[in-house]
Amino acid sequence: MSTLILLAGIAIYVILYFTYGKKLENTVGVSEENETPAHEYYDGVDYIPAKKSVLFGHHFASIAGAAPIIGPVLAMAWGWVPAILWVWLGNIFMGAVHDYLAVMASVRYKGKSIQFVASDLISERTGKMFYWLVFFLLVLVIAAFGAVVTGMFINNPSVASSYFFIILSALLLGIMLYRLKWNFYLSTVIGIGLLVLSMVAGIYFPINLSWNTWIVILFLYIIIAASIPVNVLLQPRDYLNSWLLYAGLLIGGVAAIFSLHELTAPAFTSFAPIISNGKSTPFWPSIVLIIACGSLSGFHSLVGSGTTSKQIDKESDVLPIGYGTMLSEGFLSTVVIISIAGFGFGVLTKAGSGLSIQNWAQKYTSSMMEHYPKADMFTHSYAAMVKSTFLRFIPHKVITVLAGMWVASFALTTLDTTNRLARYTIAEMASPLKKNMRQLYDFLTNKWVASLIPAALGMWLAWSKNFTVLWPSFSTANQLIASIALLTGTIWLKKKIKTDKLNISLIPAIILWITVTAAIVWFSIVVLPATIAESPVTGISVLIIEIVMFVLNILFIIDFIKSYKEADRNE
Amino acid sequence: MQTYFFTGKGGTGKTTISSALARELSGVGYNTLLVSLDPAHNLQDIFELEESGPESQITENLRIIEPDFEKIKTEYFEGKVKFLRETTSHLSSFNIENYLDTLKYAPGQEEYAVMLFLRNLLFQRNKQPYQFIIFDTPPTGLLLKILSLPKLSLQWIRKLVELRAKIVDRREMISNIRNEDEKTKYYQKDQVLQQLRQQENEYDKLREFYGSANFYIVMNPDILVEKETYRLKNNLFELDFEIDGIINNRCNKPYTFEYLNEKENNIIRIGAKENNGSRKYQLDLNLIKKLDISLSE
Amino acid sequence: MNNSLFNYLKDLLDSFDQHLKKGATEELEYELEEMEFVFALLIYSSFIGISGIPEGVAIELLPYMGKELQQFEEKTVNSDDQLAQLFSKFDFE
Repeated sequence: MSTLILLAGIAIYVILYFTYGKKLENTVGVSEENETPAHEYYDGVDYIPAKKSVLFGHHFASIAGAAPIIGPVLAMAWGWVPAILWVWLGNIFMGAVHDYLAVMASVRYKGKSIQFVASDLISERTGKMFYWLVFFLLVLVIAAFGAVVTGMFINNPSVASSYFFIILSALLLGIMLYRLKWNFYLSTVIGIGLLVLSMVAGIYFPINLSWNTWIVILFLYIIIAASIPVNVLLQPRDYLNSWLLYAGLLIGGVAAIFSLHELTAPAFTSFAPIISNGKSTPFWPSIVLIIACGSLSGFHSLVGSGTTSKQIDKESDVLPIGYGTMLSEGFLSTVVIISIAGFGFGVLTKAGSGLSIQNWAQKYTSSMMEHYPKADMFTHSYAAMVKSTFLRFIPHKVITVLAGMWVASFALTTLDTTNRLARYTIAEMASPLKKNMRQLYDFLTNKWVASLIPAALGMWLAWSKNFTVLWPSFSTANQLIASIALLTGTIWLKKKIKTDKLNISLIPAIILWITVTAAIVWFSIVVLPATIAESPVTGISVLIIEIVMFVLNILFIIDFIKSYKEADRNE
Repeated sequence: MQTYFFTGKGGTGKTTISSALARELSGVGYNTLLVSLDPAHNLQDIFELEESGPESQITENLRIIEPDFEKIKTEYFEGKVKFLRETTSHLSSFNIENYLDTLKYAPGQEEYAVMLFLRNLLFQRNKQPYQFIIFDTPPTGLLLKILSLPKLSLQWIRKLVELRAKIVDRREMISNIRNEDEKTKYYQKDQVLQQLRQQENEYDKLREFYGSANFYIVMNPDILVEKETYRLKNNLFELDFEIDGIINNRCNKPYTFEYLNEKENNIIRIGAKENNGSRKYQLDLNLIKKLDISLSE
Repeated sequence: MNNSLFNYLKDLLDSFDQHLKKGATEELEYELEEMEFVFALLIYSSFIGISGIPEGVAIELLPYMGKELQQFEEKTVNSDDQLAQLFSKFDFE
């Protein structure tokens, strides 16, 4: 049964890639004759055409991470059918279109970012808005992922120590590759060996610490990792991570195909089961907040219109790289859903939860949080899925650690990257202060202050442990960016491509905007008051962020409508 | 080889004294070079030369040079522009030459021209058999700029070397992994670092040269001049220059010092000689003895 | 037939190889670019009197920095559009 669903997913993605994808290309007017910026502005550094397959792998690695895994875990509360429908249809008609248009618009805009395009076609205010939304995204992602990692480390002390050994391995690999300059392949093999050893060592030497201790350690880690030269830790660590990704994908993909398991989780439970902070969470509008990457994710537009668009060789490459990578990420989420749908129930029952098909809507989230919080649900379901196939010769504990490592490693990558991004964002947000409030400007843009602010805010929020609130808040920032990007893509089609076949972009964009706006309202009115009652600081901080984002969102749609009408007049 | 720099406020008699010393030394048989670093040259007046070139051989042992700093500077820039055109001809949008062209005519380049001249002089030093080189220096402002140039340049060079070494380090890391890559093809052997190190070497040599030279400040018995002299001494000290003596020129009667400490400083009195009506420059001042110059044979 | 399959696999392997190497150097490259930018900026700005480097020092370096200064000029075109660049060069996820 699981295999069938998986194959159905693959079929749907492939068929629509070729049909709907073609439609996208026709709307845009893709042509071999148009010179891409990689050729026209070739500089051998940023503007340099890349081979399609290399760029595909690269872009996919940039957008893939921990989020396509965590989202589906929470979404299981609705049953696996709604979750998978969103991952399939939402992806094909909304998320992948969003990614495609972001890359394409950028390619036609000399490789400038989607932020630039928005600034040019909608309003300068919209362009500036990106900095604010990104800042909130960074703070909230630290909070959400900080909570994920901390939770993972506490429930799986083996994962914690494996990670510790991976850091050591990365340090060693850094010395081998960059200091001693050993042969690349030799170092890679040694690195992979160290990776495996780390996992084994982790199993034998677990590290047990308290929640508070881990939060402090993570906070220090974020600050330090971003301050040392990248060849020491970050670069080798990210390189090792990619091998984890390949292993996880390969084993997971194979296991999903061969598992042939019945999907024991319910297909559909209720429209509004309990997910966020003990509240009934309606499928519409909150699905966009629960499953982001895997279906639709705002920051992809930034990745796509950053380096990717400047390396596109031919316009026809944008389909596999923009549209195709997003579908691939959808495939990843599909595998996750299948593994939990197939094995999650068994895992939770084994842990002694009182979960049944009847009380699933009420009890799933709380059981999951109690026994296998956050991503652990995934690691154990994944391990169970692998065990059910011929791959069971790999020790169960090792697979558990592998899956845990996969999630933790990607979450940690996010944590230490946010620092660098935050410094830049804060500097841009503070630039109006440069003239009149020079001292404040200097203070905010000081290297250490700019690093500490988001790290401290984020980890403070993570401390509250309120994951079912932190995750949706992170998603609101992310999906607001997506909404702006998709509407920008729409305006681009209207103003620059001058087509009237806008529906392929306009309809999902409007639906998305309404959904995200409704989601923010629902979240602020229904969920946050309870949060404020329990942990006032977390609740109020998140509420303030939500309100600011809501205001920005309204300003944006006003600017968008103005710009749209203006385009109508000019035709 | 011994080197002498005569510094001081304008009008105190530096040119007279440096010319007198040059005359004396060449007179007792030492091969002497007298150089005017003052862009407003006036050695020609003292040696009563007609309009002649920058270099003149006065006697068998005495040569004077009044460099044409403008020309030195212009030739230098022109040389650089030419070299740049040759090395960067393959770059399409590159127009750094325009910047150099504007610099060529920018004011305030004198100290650099002087430094170019000195560097060249030093470079040729091994070929020239001078036993004494005497420098008449320009007014204090320009002099301090000239003397501070090596220190300032070295500070910057060291910072640039530090940054460049890091750049080269990372390029090596990357090209070790991606050695067939188009991007890394441009990481050739780093000539910038080589060039920086070469400059460092040259400026170090210049500093050594200054360090081994004898510095004198020429003053007159006047309270304002003395105050300026005191300041100049401190300014030189801040640039790591210790002076070897202060010449109180045209001092006929005893003078009481207000700012300078007579005991701490080596004060040399030179009186204005009886003029016997002629307007010729007094060049017979017995300086070798007064400055206690040690001669070897 | 065999030949084209072999070529296809070879091409795939080559792509994977390139992908790996890129993954092992991307952040290093970004750090390098930042440093090169600063260096070029120091040299460039000395000509307009900003950085305080004596012109003599900077002038001597020019003939060897042609390509770098050209890249510097090109980079400044996009210097106000860095947000997306940062998200792509650094592994946000």
